Amino acid sequence: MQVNPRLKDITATRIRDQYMKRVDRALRSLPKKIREETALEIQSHLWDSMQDSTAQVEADRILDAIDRLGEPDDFIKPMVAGRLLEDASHSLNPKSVVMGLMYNAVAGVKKAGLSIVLGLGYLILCIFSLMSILKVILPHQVGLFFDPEGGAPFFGVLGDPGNHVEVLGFWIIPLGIVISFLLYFGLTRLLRIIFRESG
Amino acid sequence: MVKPSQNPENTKFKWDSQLRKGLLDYIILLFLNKKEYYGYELIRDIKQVTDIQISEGTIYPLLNRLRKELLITSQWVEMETGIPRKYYQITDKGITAVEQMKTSWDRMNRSINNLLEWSCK
Repeated sequence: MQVNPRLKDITATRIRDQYMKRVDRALRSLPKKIREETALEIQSHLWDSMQDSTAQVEADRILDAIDRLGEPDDFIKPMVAGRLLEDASHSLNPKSVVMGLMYNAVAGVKKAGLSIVLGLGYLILCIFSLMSILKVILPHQVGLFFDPEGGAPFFGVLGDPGNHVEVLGFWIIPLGIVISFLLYFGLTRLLRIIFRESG
Repeated sequence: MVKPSQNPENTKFKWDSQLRKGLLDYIILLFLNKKEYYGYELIRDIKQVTDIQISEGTIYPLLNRLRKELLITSQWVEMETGIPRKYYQITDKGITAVEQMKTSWDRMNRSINNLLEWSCK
């Protein structure tokens, strides 16, 4: 359902088309049907707004309408952010999760803070997943290490374990997989709860 | 010289803005409870009836959220101009929400009025 109402003035048409390109860019993360519907509603709004403008020249009327409506990034971002997080919490799609966090990170201080915390959660998830994989490749250098002579335990990859004793063995693989799954599902469900009010 | 953060006009502006944001859902549902609206018409009538100036673009995320909460529905209507309009209607759940919001608003109004009376003594 794509309609480009014909404007009489070439300049007005160019201004409108450039604005709609910015709208399309702001909407690009959304599914096609929603992108098209939203773009159509904005076009319809601009048309109605132009009819109310008192400017004599068509180009000025479209500029008035655009000025009153505002920049697409400003009013479309909350819709996109909310939609991406809704998709992420339902589909568990990693791409939706990352993009949802990115959009909300720029949506204000509170949401940026929550995005950072959730982002750290996902980072820990990646670490556990990576450890599970690396244990197969570097069995003696990956794990939970203790130094018999004292010192803090170390969880990760040691280039040269030396006297350090690795205590988990290959249990780190199923443990890493289970923790990764639990973190992924838990964090992604948390997204819906925390960002429920995102437009 | 007064810093911007200490300027009383800035404080009032921020408070007004927060108050308007908090009431917009109620305002939109009140209008839709009267009749169906398309987006531009809703903004125009809100400005005329309430004298509240809202940024036009902000209406669409709000309408989107109310629709997701099943308080309103929408449908496209073909117009004679060839440019379709998306009309919004309130749902039964939305009507219930308006009634609940009115109760909360009346209670809040009474509380603030009581507080104002008390503070003037």
